[in-house]
Amino acid sequence: MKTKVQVQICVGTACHIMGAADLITIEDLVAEPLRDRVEVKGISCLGLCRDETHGKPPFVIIDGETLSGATLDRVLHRIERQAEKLSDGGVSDAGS
Amino acid sequence: MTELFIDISELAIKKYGESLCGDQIKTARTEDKTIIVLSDGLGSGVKASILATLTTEIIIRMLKADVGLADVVETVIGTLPVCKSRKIAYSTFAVMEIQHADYSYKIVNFDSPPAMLFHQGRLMHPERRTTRIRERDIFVSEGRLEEGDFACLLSDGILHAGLGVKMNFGWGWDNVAKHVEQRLAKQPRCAWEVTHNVLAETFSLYAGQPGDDASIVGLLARQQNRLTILTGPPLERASESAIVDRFLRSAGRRVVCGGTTGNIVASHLGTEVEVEIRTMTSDVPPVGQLAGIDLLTEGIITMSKTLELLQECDFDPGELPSERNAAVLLAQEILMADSIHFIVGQSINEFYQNPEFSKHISIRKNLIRELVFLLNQRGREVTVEYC
Repeated sequence: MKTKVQVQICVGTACHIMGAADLITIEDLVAEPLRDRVEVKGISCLGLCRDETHGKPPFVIIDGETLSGATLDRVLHRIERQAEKLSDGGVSDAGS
Repeated sequence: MTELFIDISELAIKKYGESLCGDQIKTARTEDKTIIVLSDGLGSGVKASILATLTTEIIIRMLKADVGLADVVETVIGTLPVCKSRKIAYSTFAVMEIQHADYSYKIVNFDSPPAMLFHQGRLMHPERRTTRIRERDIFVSEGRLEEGDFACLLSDGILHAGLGVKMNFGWGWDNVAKHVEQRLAKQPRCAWEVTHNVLAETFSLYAGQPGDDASIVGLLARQQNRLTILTGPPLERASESAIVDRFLRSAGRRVVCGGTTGNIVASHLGTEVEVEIRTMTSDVPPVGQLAGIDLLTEGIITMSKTLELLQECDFDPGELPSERNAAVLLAQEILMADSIHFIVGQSINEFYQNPEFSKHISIRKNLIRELVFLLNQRGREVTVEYC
């Protein structure tokens, strides 16, 4: 079973300028009981900004799902939702 | 015979409280030879500085005009005023001349500390012969430089460091030589790493208040440090593979500046980029890791910041910020390189044209142009190819 929520922050030029650097603090902002269950990584440019249909930078991938226009609040919310799913045993490692 | 690059680094600190340094160093490279002159004016301050400047200027000009070393020394000694009470010349000097054809060298010392020469990291004691010119003893040593040899000329301000502060008799020639040996054991990539280390120790031994002007000029005979920077995806996707292949086979150190460019290289290598997220700051995107690449950074923001850092540090690596981020690491790579080749991909990310975004970034081509201009000004060999 997967135990951690995987957060990948795109660190390409567009994402950086549009606020990716602020998102690195996300680990510290996660509520205490969840903190050990979140893993934040940087990911080399995803290239999503080249296509408007993907939305606006910065892009963050949370457990495989892409979040565009990512802000601290939106990422936090998504992490909490994923963590709940993990607690319910609803997410497995398979295919991730 | 292996072609050698004569890497020279000159550094000086002035006596505490003085506005001018009484030591002067001048170097010159002609087609046939490299000339290094260090002169120490008697005393300190303005007068010492003027005398030392006069001495280095005369020597450099005459040697550049191919006047023989003995004649140059005779002229200088004949020109220099002599202190009436102490009967010593108002400035001392050391000269090193290296012939490019065979790397043979000649070192001349006039009242100055003996030059130091290191072969395979160990101090050498080349034979010194004494010649009398105008009733003064001149010490001459000769030899031939080999790859890895390090030579330095220094003023007595370095030998006296710590005198009465941290040591009874000052640092001393033998101890300075041992210190240089220790630094050479760490395989310096450039002469600056040694000279900077010696002068930093000098400053520390003087407890931050040098009692004399102190200067050193170091020479490292080595292969040219080459650097290739790949930045930006090529216009033609079909040419990516050939360009990356050529980049990966380039001699010397290899740097990739650009997220997409990094991904192209990673895909060519059949691997993925690892991002060191902790190196990210609000100004500079993080460093990436990729096997076979010495440094991987984001492109435009990082290069802009590096350009700023190079201007701010005035090309002195010791003045770069101590934090480890991509822009600082890129500046270090550039400062350690003698020749830099840029491979600039011209593919444009449409999103960069977005009006809310474009004000933040320069066009890659303009940025490279500015960097090249600066590097050329500072004597780096720079070549650029667009793809």
